[in-house]
Amino acid sequence: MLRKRKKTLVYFLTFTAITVAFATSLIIVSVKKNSQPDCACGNPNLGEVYDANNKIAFFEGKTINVPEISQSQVAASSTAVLGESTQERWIEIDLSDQKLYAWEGNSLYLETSVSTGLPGYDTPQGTFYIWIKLRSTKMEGGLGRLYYYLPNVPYVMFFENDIVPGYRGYGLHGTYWHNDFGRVHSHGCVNLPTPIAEKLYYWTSPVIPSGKTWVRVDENNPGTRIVVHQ
Amino acid sequence: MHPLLTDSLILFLASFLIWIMYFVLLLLWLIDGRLEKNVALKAILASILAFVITEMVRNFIPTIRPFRVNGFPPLTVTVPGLHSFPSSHTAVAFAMAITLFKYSRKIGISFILAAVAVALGRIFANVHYLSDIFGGIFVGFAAFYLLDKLNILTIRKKHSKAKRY
Repeated sequence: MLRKRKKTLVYFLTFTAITVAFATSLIIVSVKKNSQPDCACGNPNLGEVYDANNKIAFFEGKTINVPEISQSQVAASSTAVLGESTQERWIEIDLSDQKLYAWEGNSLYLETSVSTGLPGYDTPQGTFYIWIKLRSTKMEGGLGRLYYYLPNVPYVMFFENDIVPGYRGYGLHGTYWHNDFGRVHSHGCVNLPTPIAEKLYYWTSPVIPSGKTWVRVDENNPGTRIVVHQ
Repeated sequence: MHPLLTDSLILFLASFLIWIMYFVLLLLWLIDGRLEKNVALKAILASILAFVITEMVRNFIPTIRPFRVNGFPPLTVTVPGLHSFPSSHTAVAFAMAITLFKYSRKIGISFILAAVAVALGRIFANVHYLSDIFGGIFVGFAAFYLLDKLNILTIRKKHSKAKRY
């Protein structure tokens, strides 16, 4: 009799311990999810991802056809050249006007409407530098109704600074899933019209080496400065 | 399964299950009495030895943990240290499970299953590679074997038929 009661007690205590531990796991996972929101535009890959067979994207509960990216090298006249001694090129992003200005010294190279982060997914403010440029990559994130899956996002320029490290995944990139520029619409990134993103991709630093389609910064090839302000 | 549940399950396996194994070991010894004191102490000692060995190996063979390489955050309670080979969780869990297996098949098999679950949790939590797991199992065996050879806390098999040598 005593033997049986001891056995029951052991089973009961084991079950309780497992339940408590699992509940704690649930709480920890929820807290982690909330305190560190999903990366703004998915985890930045350290390499280019382009899958020509991937034709279907998913955003805000809708499926979207993925456009193809021209795989020919762009011979844009505005392409930055390494070691070029012109005035500094930098990018200004005005969150309240939803505008982007690309400056070369004091002269304006281009100006465009953009879509930055929705409330709760705010695009961070401050001075950043581009740290990696990928001609295309996959962006995936969000949970439940906010889930998005966007293959072959074109002309991606991820930026970072000391406060917002690169793995948070904030960047500038082309957009094929909405045309809502001038209003906030993103999960933290700066959405650009794809033709503008293409222009900026070849205008900014780090300079894309010939024969490559993506690049990461190094000492000799620093990234363009990006100023995000209200 | 909902991603929140999957993540919780992985975190439970990777971070909590090993403590539950210790807890059940203590219950079986102190309350249930199915485990003798010598067996329980030997299992705990083997697990400590396994932990010490992994820490030593890690200093000699520094390997970077997967979450520092592939950019996805680890799914554990605390962010573990820099080096991954071999897996100390696996080594500790297996050292304990194998020691118990020598004493009692029934208890041993459930502990070995739990140890496998711990190892899988460590992989899915993005803190270990599969090779770390195999290294951990090897260290677990080594710790059991060393302690067994030392001839302290001798254990006699439970329910085993008398063997003739």
